[in-house]
Amino acid sequence: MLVSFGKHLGQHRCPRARRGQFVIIAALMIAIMIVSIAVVMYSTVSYYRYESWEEYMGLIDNVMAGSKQVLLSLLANYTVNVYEKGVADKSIVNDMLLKWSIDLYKAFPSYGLNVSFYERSQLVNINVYGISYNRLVNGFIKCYWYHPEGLSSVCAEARIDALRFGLYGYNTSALYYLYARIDTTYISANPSSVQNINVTVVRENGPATDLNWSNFEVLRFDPNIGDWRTVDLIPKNTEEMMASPGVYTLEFLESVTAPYYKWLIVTVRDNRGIYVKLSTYNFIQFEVQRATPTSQMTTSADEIYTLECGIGGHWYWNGKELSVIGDVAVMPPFPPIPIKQFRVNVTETGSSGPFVTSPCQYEIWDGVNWHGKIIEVPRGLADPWAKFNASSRIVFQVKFPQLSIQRQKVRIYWLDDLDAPPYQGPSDLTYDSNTFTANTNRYRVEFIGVGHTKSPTYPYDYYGVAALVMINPTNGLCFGPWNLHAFGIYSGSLGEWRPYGQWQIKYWYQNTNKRAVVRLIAILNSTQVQNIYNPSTGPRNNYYDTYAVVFITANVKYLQLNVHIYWKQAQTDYGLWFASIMGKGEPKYYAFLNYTTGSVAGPYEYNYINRQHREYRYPGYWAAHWNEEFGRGVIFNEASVQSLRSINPSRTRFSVTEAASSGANQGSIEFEAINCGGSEYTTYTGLSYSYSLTMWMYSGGDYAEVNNYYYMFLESYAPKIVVGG
Amino acid sequence: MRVIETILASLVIMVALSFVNNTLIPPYSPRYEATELEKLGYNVLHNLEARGILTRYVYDSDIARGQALLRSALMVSLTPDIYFNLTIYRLDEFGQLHLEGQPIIHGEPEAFQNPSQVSTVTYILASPGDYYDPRILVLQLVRR
Repeated sequence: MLVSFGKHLGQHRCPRARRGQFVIIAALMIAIMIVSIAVVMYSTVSYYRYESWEEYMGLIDNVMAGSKQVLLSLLANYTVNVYEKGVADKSIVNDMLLKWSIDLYKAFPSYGLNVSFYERSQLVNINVYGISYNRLVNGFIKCYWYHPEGLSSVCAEARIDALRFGLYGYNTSALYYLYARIDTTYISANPSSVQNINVTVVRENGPATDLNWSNFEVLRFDPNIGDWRTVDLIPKNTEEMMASPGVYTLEFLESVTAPYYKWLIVTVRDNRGIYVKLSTYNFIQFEVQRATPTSQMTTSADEIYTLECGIGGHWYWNGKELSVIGDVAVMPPFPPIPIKQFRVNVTETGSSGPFVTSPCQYEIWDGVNWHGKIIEVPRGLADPWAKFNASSRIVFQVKFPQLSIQRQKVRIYWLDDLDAPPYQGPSDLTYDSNTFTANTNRYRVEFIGVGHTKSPTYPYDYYGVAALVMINPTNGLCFGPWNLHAFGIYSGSLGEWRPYGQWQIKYWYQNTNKRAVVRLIAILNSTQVQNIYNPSTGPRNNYYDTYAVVFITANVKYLQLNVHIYWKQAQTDYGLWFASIMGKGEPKYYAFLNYTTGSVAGPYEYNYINRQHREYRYPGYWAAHWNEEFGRGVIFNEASVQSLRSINPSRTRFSVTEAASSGANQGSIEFEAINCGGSEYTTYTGLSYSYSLTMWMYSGGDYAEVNNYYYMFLESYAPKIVVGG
Repeated sequence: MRVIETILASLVIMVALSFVNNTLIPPYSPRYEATELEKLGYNVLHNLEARGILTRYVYDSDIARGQALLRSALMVSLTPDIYFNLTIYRLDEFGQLHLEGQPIIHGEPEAFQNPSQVSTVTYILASPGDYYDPRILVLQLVRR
């Protein structure tokens, strides 16, 4: 080409031009040579980098293999703590990873190794044997338990710098998990008994094929002991158990009969020490049937029950255990899982209506031996991580907003996310510890007692006497305190000796910043009484002990009070009150239900001109006082009316007092077990009684609302639980 | 003619450099290069760990038995002309190193004194199960 090019040009170009061609060729050749030398020099200079690649790959492999093991240890540690101790402590994650980073640095001091771990979100997608399971893993460790399929997983991103190799920002992520699934199809076949179940176990690298019978634990509910017990498995090795890779058949030594095979708890622990806990079911369902006489009611818009659900088919309302329609034995037992996992759905338009979320909370109740009598009282809100047991109660609300609705359905289900907090949905229930005030959307209550002896809304100091001041939250109206109990007269002033002490408020879950959303519990456990009119002698302990529990409930117009009284010494005085509810001169009218006739007595108008203490015979289930803006009714249940009448039925009274001790108007409503207007009464050591009262807060005008809703609180009209429907 | 000479000279230089680059074995530089023994050490330990053997033996509840088994595993994994001295350290909570058991030695003592090649590999091992208790393995390899 060059030759022909030259020949062709040679006919037209001069020799000078011919020399120019060589110059160009020379320049090109020199340029090529320079480039070649540059390449050679570069490869010479950077030679060591390629050589050291293999060295630092060895180091990185070591770091990654160790990090994998640390992450697996983290997951195993977390799951074993949850399984064995019910403790989910994620603080170990950062502690252990930090230790690991420091130890790596120490192990390779000359490499300038810096390894850090970061949270990473990743979707776990399991598709084997027709299973399609997707869950998001984040926050290093994520566990989904207590459903028929579950997962324990750990996910992290590691960033590695090795200064010696000039390596910065080496980035890699890791995900390890244990997934398990119970095949629950046997339940729908409805056999009379079950001898085995199938469990599929999968790890991040495929089906787990190295397990044997000792890696599984099965629990069943035993109605004879009322608790869960282990089902003995027939010892088998991997080959004998595994039908196909990762699918294990667990053979029971004794078959599990119907219906108990529907409710099994299966725990899988793989050989890395990672646990997954599964349940063959994930909800419990029943119905609540109202029993109020709808034909005698004008409305039920505020007929809302705050129910407590305990273990073993026990439900409670207003201190009474509810009767159950149907066979409790067919009712699924509560699984032994952290109580915070539970949630409640209810219908609001009848049992065939759609479910809506009901606020719920978890309480601990104890049978306390109090002066030789066992009384059921709440200890407070539960430890969210405590397993549901005989002391636990789930509290939720069921509404019957229309008279035509007779049943509502309730579904108690549980979440599979172990990070789920206690239910913390929207709630109007708040507590301000600075003002000792609990608020709901319906009323406000100020706790008076030791530590807060005087309410800004009521002009009298209570000197440590425990009482409740109810306030209308919308207009701030306050009629005055609710006194829990009283005895005697001091210089013509009624109710001299009243319970003295400090309220214990139960609003926060133990060891958390999570709050009660359904109701606040206040407890008064007092051994002293105080002369409210003359505190100079100080509180006395030679009268009676008081154990009182108040429930301040959101979304309803009522608050409930349970009082237990025990007399330690005989005392003689005038009058014994179960309740005295002050009026501060605000209410204009009052009325009460006559126990004998069953009809309403009143309404009467307070006479603030000729002010007296007026007593009426035969107090019944309720009494109310009101004005045009605000009203309060006190409702007794049947047992409490009997308790009121238990000391001397001929001396029980409903009464009002129109003047306060200072001379101001009062306008109270009172229930007297022994009327103060009669002769002296002497108590005796060992005299004890209990009563449950409900305060109904409403907008006044008349007593119709109290008369309409008081049935809710009577034992005869308590709702019933329908199971197995 | 000078131009042609220049071109030829350049070609000769280029060919020479290419030849040198492709055929010359660079001198040994331990500062930058991992020796074959070092690579071998990493590979052996990494393979043993990947198979679960290393963790099982190092964390054997019977330390002497575990170390005896580990010695055997290393002997099988390495060629006969390579001797080794493996020391296992336990890290306490304060980051202090403590010797775990006894050094695992295979080979004649004089081989470690006058080796033809020697290399040391450090390897860190995380504990199995649900607790954190790492070990640092220092593996010295010598070729007879």
